[in-house]
Amino acid sequence: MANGDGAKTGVAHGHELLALADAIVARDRAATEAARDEIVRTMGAAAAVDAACVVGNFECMNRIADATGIALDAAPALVTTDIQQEMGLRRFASAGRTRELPGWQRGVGRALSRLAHAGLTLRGRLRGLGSRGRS
Amino acid sequence: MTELFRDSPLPIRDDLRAAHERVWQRLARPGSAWTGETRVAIAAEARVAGTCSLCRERREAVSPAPVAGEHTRASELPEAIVDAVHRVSTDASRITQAFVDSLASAGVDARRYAELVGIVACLRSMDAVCFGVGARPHPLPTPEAGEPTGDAPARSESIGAFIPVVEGRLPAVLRALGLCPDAVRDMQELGEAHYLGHDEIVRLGRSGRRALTRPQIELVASRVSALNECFY
Repeated sequence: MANGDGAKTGVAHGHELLALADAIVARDRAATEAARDEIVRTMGAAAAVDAACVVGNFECMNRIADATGIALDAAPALVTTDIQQEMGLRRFASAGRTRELPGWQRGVGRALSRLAHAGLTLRGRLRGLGSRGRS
Repeated sequence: MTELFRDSPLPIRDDLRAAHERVWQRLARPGSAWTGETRVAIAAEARVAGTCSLCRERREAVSPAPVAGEHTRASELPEAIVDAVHRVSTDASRITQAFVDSLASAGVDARRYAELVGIVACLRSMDAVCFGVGARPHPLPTPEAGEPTGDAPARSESIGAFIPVVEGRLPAVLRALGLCPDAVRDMQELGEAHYLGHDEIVRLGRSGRRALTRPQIELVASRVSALNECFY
């Protein structure tokens, strides 16, 4: 609630950041200016620069990955099977370079992914407890 | 060299400006496989590809292969090289092994292709940052004379990609341009300034020196990758 539409992404100021990403990739000057101004207003100028930089980084890395035809590395391929399915990533032409895992491997990947998520959540909570103790 | 980002309305980090300056200066020099003149011409073509009508038609078509025509040009490079630059720039997700193999007959072997991809990718990256911060694109540098250096990695391996990659245990995307060490250096230098340093990447939950949180960074990264239809 405190971060408006960011609640839909679960990320603070997600709406503003997505607007800037969309505008830069589309090379829409008016939309980029509007999105940038909004980020400056709500998050500060440094955040606007950093957001533009992340867009730039992945404009680079996406082209390197696709133009060289690399497949997804084994470990990420294993733990992202759920994400691949939920987001329909296999519809991308570039997905054909990464083989689909057999059912039992997808199950292992799903379990590892949930374990990792639980571990990260626990670590986050422990950090929160630690910082409260120090204050 | 003209000061980069001079006309941006936003304050530009020193490390960001410095990284762009270094990569921009290297663009003008002879590379591993191409002369400085060819490298700058490749960059010019990568820049004009964004307004090329043939590229736009191909992107909108179900398959790019049957769409014939001529590219909007910015150089005197051979047609096959111009086509490769424009494809990497505007439709990389549909590049195939057959297409890369076909470049060999035009003298673009695996190392030349790696260097070409590196130039295009870095150019698009820096242009996107300029666009995002409200600055004009960096003016193309004056090429420096000299022959290609011939620099190559000691060992490369085939991992089923379109070209061999440098041997090692790093993720494939960090090894993909390894036939051309300068391209890897440019990619890493820009990556540190644009995204995160390697030691920061593996520290999940942290964003180091950035004004964005890690989740915010990854949200933007995911969005761009989805828009570019990049499965990796």
